[in-house]
Amino acid sequence: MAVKKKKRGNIKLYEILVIIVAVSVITFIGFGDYLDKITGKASTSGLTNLTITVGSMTLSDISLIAAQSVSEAATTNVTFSFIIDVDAGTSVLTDGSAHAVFNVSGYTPIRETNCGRQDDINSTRANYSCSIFVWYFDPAGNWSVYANISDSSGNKAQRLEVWNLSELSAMVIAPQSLTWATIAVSAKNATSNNDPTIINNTGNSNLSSVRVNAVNLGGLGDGSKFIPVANFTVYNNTGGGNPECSTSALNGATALVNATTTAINGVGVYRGNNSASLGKQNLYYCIIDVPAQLSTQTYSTNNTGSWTISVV
Amino acid sequence: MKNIKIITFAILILTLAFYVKAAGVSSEYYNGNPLVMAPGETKDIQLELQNGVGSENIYLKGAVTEGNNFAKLIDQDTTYYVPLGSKIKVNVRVSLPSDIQPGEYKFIASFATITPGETSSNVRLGVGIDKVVPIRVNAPPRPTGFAALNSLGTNGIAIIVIILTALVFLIMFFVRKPKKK
Repeated sequence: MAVKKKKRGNIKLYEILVIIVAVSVITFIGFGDYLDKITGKASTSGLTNLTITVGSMTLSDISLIAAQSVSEAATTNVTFSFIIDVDAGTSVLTDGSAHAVFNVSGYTPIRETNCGRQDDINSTRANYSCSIFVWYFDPAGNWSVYANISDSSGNKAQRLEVWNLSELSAMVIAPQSLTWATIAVSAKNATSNNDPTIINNTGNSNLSSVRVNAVNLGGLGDGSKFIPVANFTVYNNTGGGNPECSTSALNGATALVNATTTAINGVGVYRGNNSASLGKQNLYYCIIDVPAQLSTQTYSTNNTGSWTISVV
Repeated sequence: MKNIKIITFAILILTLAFYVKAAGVSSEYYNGNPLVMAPGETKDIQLELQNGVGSENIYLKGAVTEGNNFAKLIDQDTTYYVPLGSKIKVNVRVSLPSDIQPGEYKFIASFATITPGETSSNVRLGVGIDKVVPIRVNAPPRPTGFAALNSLGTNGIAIIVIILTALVFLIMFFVRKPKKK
């Protein structure tokens, strides 16, 4: 009995040793990582596609749509093709039903088009081509393309794939210059006589901030005299009382800083159809104080450098 | 009556420019679709400059104005000539340090028109675009198998052997310890 007990003791000892070594090895070689990977969560990497086959028709492939970029204030033609397999032969396909739709989550309108048969690859396989226009203000994101086609019996095949629309930050301004009428020294609140600067957002990015990097205006005759840019204010509003000259109100006009990019209070330009008066901002300018020590001459950016209106 | 000096501002209004100035920068990576990288990784990406709706050819001066410790423009000349109606690629290299912490980062590539100050009016205006490119830094994958053992190094393996040996002796001590009656 004593011998048996000792043997059992040795066996237990070996079992414990084996377990310790096994657990150590498993831990250090990272077997836990494999367990981590076994989850119910779908993979989010890469683009997805979905094929639905009805009857004897299969929309087997949509050509890969590379990442697209919209063009400034224009439409972009996105072209792709799809292949349909039909056991009964391509003659049963209803060309007029070939249709494709682009859409992205949370955005209307959708973009859609009818597709045309390019050629029959063989008696049971046909190739269709589609072109959809994407507008410059259509938002960046992972867009879905949904293609479908029916046969003469009403059977329908469809397929969904995803492609990436890039983000374009773009703007156009007009005019390219600012002028003031003749002003007396010590004058107050002189507004520009050719503003506003009209800013159009010509891309698909919401431009959250409009900034102005301005420099002092130098005298063309006597370069030692200048109008400090700190005496200029900018605002996106004008009217009675010249609000573009007032920095006192909350979110009022913004005073510029020499050679410094200065954000204009509360001014952004959201994307939108410029033709529908969306995606636009106006900037109005004011010289709040013409220094008394200035001499009579023209002051401009000729010798000091241009101002830059920038967006982010 | 005080002598009031008259400043002659803007005499040549007749030559006021009716032209427009435009610029655009496009990126495949944006908020919601960041550039995904791992610590120590380097990736080359492209931005695209556009001059689609302006009235003239433009030069855009480019620079990385934020995040330039890991992103830089790698084109030989970072002043880009963008003819009217064209699109021009900008090459950017993003190199993350190996010790960067996982998380959200960004760099800003700034492009501004090179616009001389000369004007027949008072102020000449140029345009600029700051393009934000978000970066998501993921944790590097943990090494497994032999790679895991290799990553421990000689010292690490020695420590494991010592700990295991100590455990073995400890267990043997308790198992063989005679029970006192």
